[in-house]
Amino acid sequence: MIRYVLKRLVISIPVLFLISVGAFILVHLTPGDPADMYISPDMTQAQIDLTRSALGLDKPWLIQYFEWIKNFFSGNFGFSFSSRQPVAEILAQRFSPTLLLMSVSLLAAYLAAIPLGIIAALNKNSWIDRSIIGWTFFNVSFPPFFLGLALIYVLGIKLAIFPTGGMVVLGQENDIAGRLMHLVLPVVVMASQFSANMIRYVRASVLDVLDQNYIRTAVSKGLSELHILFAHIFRNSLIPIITVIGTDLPKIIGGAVITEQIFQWPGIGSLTVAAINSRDYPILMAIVILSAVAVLLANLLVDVLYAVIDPRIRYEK
Amino acid sequence: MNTNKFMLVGDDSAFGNLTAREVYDGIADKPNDAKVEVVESWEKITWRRFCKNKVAFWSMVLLLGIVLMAVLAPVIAPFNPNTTVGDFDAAPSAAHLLGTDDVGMDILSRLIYGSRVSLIVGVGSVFIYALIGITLGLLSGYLGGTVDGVIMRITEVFMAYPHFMIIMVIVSLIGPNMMTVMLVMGVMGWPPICRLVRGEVLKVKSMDYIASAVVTGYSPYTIVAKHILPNVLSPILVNATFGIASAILMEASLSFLGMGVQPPTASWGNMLTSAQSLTVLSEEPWRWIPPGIAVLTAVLAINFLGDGLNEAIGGDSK
Repeated sequence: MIRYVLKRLVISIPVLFLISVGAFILVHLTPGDPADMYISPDMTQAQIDLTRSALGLDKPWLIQYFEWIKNFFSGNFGFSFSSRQPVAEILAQRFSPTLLLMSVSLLAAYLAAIPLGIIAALNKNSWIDRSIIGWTFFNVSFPPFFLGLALIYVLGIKLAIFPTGGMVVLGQENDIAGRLMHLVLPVVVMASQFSANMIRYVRASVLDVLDQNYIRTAVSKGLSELHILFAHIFRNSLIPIITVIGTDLPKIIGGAVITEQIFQWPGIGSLTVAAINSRDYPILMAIVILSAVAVLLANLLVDVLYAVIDPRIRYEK
Repeated sequence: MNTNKFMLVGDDSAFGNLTAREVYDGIADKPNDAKVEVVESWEKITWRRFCKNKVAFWSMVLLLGIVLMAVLAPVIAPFNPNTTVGDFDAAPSAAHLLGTDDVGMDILSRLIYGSRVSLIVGVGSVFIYALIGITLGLLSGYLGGTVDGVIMRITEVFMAYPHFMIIMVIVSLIGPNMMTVMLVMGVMGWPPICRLVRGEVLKVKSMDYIASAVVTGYSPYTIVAKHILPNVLSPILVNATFGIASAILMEASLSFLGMGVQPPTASWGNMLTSAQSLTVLSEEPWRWIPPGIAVLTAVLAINFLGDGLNEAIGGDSK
């Protein structure tokens, strides 16, 4: 098992390397000099040169890249162009709101989607199944910004049940109920997208399992339906479920750009939009790399989980 | 498989020693107890199965309507979409059926012209990435070995970047407009289709007819282009259809954030940008509800169409 994990880790090193090169090239190919942000019109050429060398911009690209990587691994992501704060500090501040929003959304989505997927499969081709499937089509087709705006319009403004944005009311940071109310609408927007995929996977997976001989055996043995459902069907339909979780997990970092923007949620997504608008390259680079690393780690985690659940996978590779 | 131009129903032995072709051509007498259906071509079967799915069929009709609207935009749009033609922020009236926006442009005309942006970016970007993905997928699957290894590593790198975020960053760094949105989405979107094609090629490659084509001495190019590609087209078609739907969604999302198609060019996405202000959102719903519904309708219709295609082609019907 440990050998398997190590092997997987080694395989992802070249990918990680290419990802970092990609991000570096991306940011350095863009028009404009990062030093422009630090240079004022009244500076002399000597002062400009000094600024550039302080930022390391006078060195060859290759050296810049290696220094950047070295700093990156020691947790030094540079300084934000616009606020001059350390990038790591800004990211840390923005991370927990995003983590909160995404984990609650994923949880809500799965809690709704897994039973719905099972119900749809057990009632294959009935009107229940059709409405659940139709619902997933609606969810994947609803533009998140339109859904968010519509929710704010109806529930936030017209009926005034929920706040229209933000995470807390200023001065009432300890108001738990208020915090929960702020969470509801963004969670609904995120969860509707996450759930659609999960419902379809669960349904397909349960349908696969239902065809298996061991289910027929279980039925003919006279086991109770509930027992078959949980002990036989659900357990065996887990693998595709893990796949979906694996594709959802990396979105925790950058998946909520639009939702955060609409609801003025102070997380990584809205930070990305702000960083793009102010051309804050150090922040962008850090976000891109960290989210790519998250994708790789999530893939690794999924593969390891597969191997834990289904030992056959371990021996095939 | 599209090579099956006919289908025999019933017990094979009932035909005695007749060849399928004789039965098909109607030369042979019909054996008494055989149910011989001289059946339609693959295309016809698929079409008939597709039409059975009412939702998919009407989605297709709706989409044709949207395409028509995009093509005929200059004819049907009541006003020039990119200039001031009325009062500012006017509610719907007889003159402006859907009202006007903050600079007095006609919402209905912008809505009609916006369909052009959505369709061009949606179809264009999918066309670009399908072209890249199919080529690399065929190479990867057919050649195998080192080529396969390298291409697969590259897809991993591409797929490791969070899709929406990386496209948003690149587009805004090189300058957002309709062309860059389409190009970047096209260049970044190929890995899934590449993997799909590769998988299909691997399935087809082990079939007898490929082996016989190799033995017969066809060049690898002919085998890939004439024997393998036609047989992997169906899943590509389905994938591309769903791809167009998500491309339209993505363009609208980017434009909504101000990182896609820029005003005054009308895109369904950027028509909603102003609704981020609570005043517009609550006081002027005519400005943001119609384009929102337009995106939803188009994307929903394409997704239903893709689902119908998938079922008709005999893909995963579960």
